[in-house]
Amino acid sequence: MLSQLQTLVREVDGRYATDTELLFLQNYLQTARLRFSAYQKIQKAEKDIIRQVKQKLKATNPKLLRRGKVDFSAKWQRDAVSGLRFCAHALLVADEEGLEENFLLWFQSVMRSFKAQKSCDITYKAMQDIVRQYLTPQEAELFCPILAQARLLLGQ
Amino acid sequence: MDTPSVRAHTLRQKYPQKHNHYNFADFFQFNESEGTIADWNGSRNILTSEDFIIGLLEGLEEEVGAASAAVMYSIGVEWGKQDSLFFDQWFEREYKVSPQQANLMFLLETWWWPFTAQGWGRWEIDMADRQQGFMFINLFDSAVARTLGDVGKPVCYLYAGLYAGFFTEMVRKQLSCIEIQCYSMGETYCKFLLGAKERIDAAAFWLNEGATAIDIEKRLRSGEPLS
Amino acid sequence: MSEPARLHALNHQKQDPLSVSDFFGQFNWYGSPLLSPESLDIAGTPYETVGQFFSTFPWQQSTTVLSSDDWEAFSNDEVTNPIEDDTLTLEDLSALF
Repeated sequence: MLSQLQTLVREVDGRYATDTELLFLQNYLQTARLRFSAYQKIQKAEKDIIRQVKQKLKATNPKLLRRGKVDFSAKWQRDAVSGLRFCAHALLVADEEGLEENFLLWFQSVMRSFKAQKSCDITYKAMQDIVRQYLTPQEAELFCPILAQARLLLGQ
Repeated sequence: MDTPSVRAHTLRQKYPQKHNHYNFADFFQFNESEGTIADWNGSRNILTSEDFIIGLLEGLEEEVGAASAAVMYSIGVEWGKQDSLFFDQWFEREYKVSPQQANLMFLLETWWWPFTAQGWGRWEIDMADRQQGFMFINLFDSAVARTLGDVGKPVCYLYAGLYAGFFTEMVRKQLSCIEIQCYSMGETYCKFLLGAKERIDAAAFWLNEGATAIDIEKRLRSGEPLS
Repeated sequence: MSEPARLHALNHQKQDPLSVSDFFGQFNWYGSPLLSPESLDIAGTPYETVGQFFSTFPWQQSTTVLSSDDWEAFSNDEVTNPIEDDTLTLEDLSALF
């Protein structure tokens, strides 16, 4: 919605917008309450969500968080929290395009540098499953595709 | 040491830890009162169109003919050298760690991100053959190649020079770079070979003989003698 | 799911597409008394005023950040330190040429 709003501002310079051009606003308003409530639920449950995702990660492949003497947990946790918050923001303002341009594309290059794709793949898959415990089906329907987008970009 | 306009970037002043800052709105700061554009790292920027690239290349060809390729390469080398010094400063300022101590891939990706933000294209480093002393750089959306279109010959000499200049400074060894595949030859992306001079000279020779990028890759990997 | 598909799914209950003007027409922007429910052509007008619309949001009236933001301060130094034996550095790259 935010990116679309920026585009709209640019394109309607000096004229009125058509109904078609305003449709995205209508769509946003229709889902706005869902987005707000989901956003706040995620924020409240963040610690639990991350904790459960971490457990899932450990259970799936302990080596992803610990290789030999090196403990990656703190790093992983910081990145997972970051990712969750950026995704939640994208949910709030309905801006998947912005999420990609402002965060995911850069973060993808960082994750590849540190060969953390596998870890990301499992992390965001687990996040999708775990957030459903805290959200209504409608809210999850809005949020999980965003997490899936993150998984796709970061997990490759 | 801060460059003169590093304080001109208000977003960076406010959020110095925001490492994800490469989209257009975040990376560039338009200082209307001064009429300047500063980027996140404090470098002055200007906006140009494809006309600039065409003007530069065609103007050069008019002046020096076929030598324009070598001139563009030299310009690139000098640019890469200067940029590596600039990069040394801003990388450490951004991440509080020296380039020498950083994860190599992260270092290199970080170096290239501003170029992507500026419209020079996205890249991909292929270090699979590093043990044999060479590496490939794949470039997507070369500003020069897509400006010129399919002209039937490689055109990204500026980039080749840039990579040669930058990597030479970073590894402290004399490296050369040559484009072995180009969008302007109908390929979907550009491919560069980076290595010591003898290797690059050999590749240039093979290219002249009509070898394709795949031929060159094969010959290098098989350890074919260079002369 | 693609954006169009997702929006379509959310709108799937609508019989006829509502024009944008009609949608915004549902809002009683000025809070003036409504004539009668029948006078409004649009079926199932959800809100009487803009205020009512926004009051349905789960605002928490909070001005401070929640305790969930209270993670240990992140150290950005960790971002770049080579942390594994097989992590390459510039020196490794130099040695190869």
